[in-house]
Amino acid sequence: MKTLIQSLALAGGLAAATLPTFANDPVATEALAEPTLAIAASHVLVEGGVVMDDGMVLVGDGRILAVGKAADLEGNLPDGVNVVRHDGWLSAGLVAANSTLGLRASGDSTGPFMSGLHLMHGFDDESKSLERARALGLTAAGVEAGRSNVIGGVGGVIKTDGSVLRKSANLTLCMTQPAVRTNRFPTTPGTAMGAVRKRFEGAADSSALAKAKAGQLTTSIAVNTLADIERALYVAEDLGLRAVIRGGADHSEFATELAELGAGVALSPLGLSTNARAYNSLKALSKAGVPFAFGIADGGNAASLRESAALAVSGGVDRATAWNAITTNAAKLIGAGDRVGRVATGLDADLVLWTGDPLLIASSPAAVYIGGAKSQGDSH
Amino acid sequence: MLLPILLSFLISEAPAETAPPVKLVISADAVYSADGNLLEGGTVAIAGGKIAAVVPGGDGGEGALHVAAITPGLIDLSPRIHTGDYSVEEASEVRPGDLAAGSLDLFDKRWERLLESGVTTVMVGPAYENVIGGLSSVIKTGGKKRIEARTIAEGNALIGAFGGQAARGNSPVFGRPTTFFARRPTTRMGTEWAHRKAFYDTLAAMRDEERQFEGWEAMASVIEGERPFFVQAGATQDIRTACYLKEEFGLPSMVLDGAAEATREPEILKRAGAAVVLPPHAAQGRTAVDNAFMPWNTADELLELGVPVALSAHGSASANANLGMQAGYAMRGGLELDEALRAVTLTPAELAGVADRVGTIEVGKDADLVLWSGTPFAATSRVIGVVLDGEVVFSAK
Repeated sequence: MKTLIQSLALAGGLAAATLPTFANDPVATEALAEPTLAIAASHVLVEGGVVMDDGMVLVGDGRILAVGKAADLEGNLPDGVNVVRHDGWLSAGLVAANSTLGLRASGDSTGPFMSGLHLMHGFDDESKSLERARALGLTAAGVEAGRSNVIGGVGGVIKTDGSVLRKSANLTLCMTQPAVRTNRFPTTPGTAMGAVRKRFEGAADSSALAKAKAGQLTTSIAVNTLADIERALYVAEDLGLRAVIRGGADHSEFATELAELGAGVALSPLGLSTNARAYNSLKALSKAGVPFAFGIADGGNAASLRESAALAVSGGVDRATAWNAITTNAAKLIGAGDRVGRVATGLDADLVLWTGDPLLIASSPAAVYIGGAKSQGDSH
Repeated sequence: MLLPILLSFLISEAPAETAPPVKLVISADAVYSADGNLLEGGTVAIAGGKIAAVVPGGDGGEGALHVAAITPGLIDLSPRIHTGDYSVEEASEVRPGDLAAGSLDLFDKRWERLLESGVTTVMVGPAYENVIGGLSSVIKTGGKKRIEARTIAEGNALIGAFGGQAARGNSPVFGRPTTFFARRPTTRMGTEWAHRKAFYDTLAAMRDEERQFEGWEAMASVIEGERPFFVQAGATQDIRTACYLKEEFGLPSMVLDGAAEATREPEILKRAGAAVVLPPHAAQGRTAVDNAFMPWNTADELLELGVPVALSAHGSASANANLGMQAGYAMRGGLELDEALRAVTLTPAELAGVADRVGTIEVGKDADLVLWSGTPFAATSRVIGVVLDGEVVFSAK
């Protein structure tokens, strides 16, 4: 049995701080547990473009212990393993590059510069929004605090079972609507940019801004227009931020520069009205090697993720890239690629059983597992 | 036929072995270099984005670009490419430390239209409706869409405004303000008070560290003459106020923007030693700057007074109002062609402090050129090509 389990060297302690870009995070595995759950499915969407027919995933201690052909694995299962057989698809749980899940509202009107806000001061682990997202196959998400502040707060990474994966993972910046055009200083993006630079330059050592500057926090910069993206690049370069550009419809103009900067793009959900320009932008980002993923808009829901990926395919993006945009790359952008986003040994057993190909809108989740535990009471 | 000879001549003229290769050669019936020289039949060679040679004669030879006239790229110090509601910082009427960089939208279509009208360099401020609007930048109107790439001077002037504009859209004249919009002046008097308070506060800040405020250094640099105060003042009373302010605080350098009525009180203007940027000519004389009245001979009269004059189209690219036409209108008001040319090239370059880079056709300067179908600024001529940093960025074919 154990020979089947691929073991990886212990890589704990490799924090995001040492990673200037969104490289594939190394997976940390501690001592190997005995499997307690085995899920066999007709098709296992391992990651991106890899689909394994008649596959099986072994789960123990909340982690994925092995991924292989059911025929190879099931002969060696220890007694007492709960075997689930699913006539359909199995994939990693969906991951959102950003959201406001568990927060009633993200923006805080106290002031424009609110780096003192923290996700953990507002996160409701029993929020209905988590339950709804889970029922739609979303298992992990970046959560941003203070999205409509010029400098927002510190957000993290959560799972839809209410647990918190990373308490402090990101800082948000917004130099466009709605942060700039509200009833307070500043009212121009230029002034906002100047104020942001000044605050970063004068940031105290242990502050959120200093951590963002040191790359310990990802900086999510909200954009809308092309000029906003230009400004965001200017700020990210100037301050040496590990940046994720959030929003915007067309990034193609900056694909090369985003790649050079090692930045990622967290896209707004796509819709049926999304135009060819936006799809071409996705292709340009993909070609330039810029990781992109979809986020959930304020007030939006997790259904938009799978819809966006499906629409991306309709717009000419290859299947693997589209799927990664709601799993692997989303995990990378939120700094949790070592835990979630793929069906791979050592990762958290966050799995979804689908009635069919998850990139088809007609398919729906049949069961959702988080950390190997099947979530109860979810109905679709 | 002549081209190889010309090129070999250029190469032999090249100052050093590291000189970049000649990339573009344009000849013209007339090369107006804007420094007073007119070359009837001349050729301009471009290398490394700079002007490598300007030589007499030459039809450029077979296959070479030949046009009726070449002038330097035009320069507008008051293009007013604003981004709507983003153009005013409402938090305070005095924002001396703000920079232009973040307030621009390089993806605005107006930039391309400006470029196609022959304007290759502009000066832009962060905000024009604030009393003190911050520090301006001088940028190219084309090229890579990154602000760093287009900027040729940052913080070259401090922007300010007198008159109605700085008082417009502020708190209501009666009753309590219903919003936070805290820019206070609602009258010309209030605007003037805010200006003087800002400068007095700066004098205090220069003496006393404890009285320093955000952006005071930018104000102090104007008092010390490190950069000009570029202030909008259109009506006679605003020009007068601006000149008095200059004298009161001993500001070494001031440029009056939109100064339509600059000739009304010539003694005050001359005594103050201010330079002038005129607003676009208006058919009935009433300009867009506070409705101030500008006769079409204003530029001519100012030059007679010895006042440096630059023209502006306020960003218009339309055929009857663009910067080239403003030069033409000023000629109708009495300017000679070389004076009108200077008012849209070298003079604005000097006022913006970038004459080492742009403003004339001289060896070593940026290769920013406008190619004309006939005599520049004539109503029968049009811009048929624009060269920016040595690249043909517009060609009317």
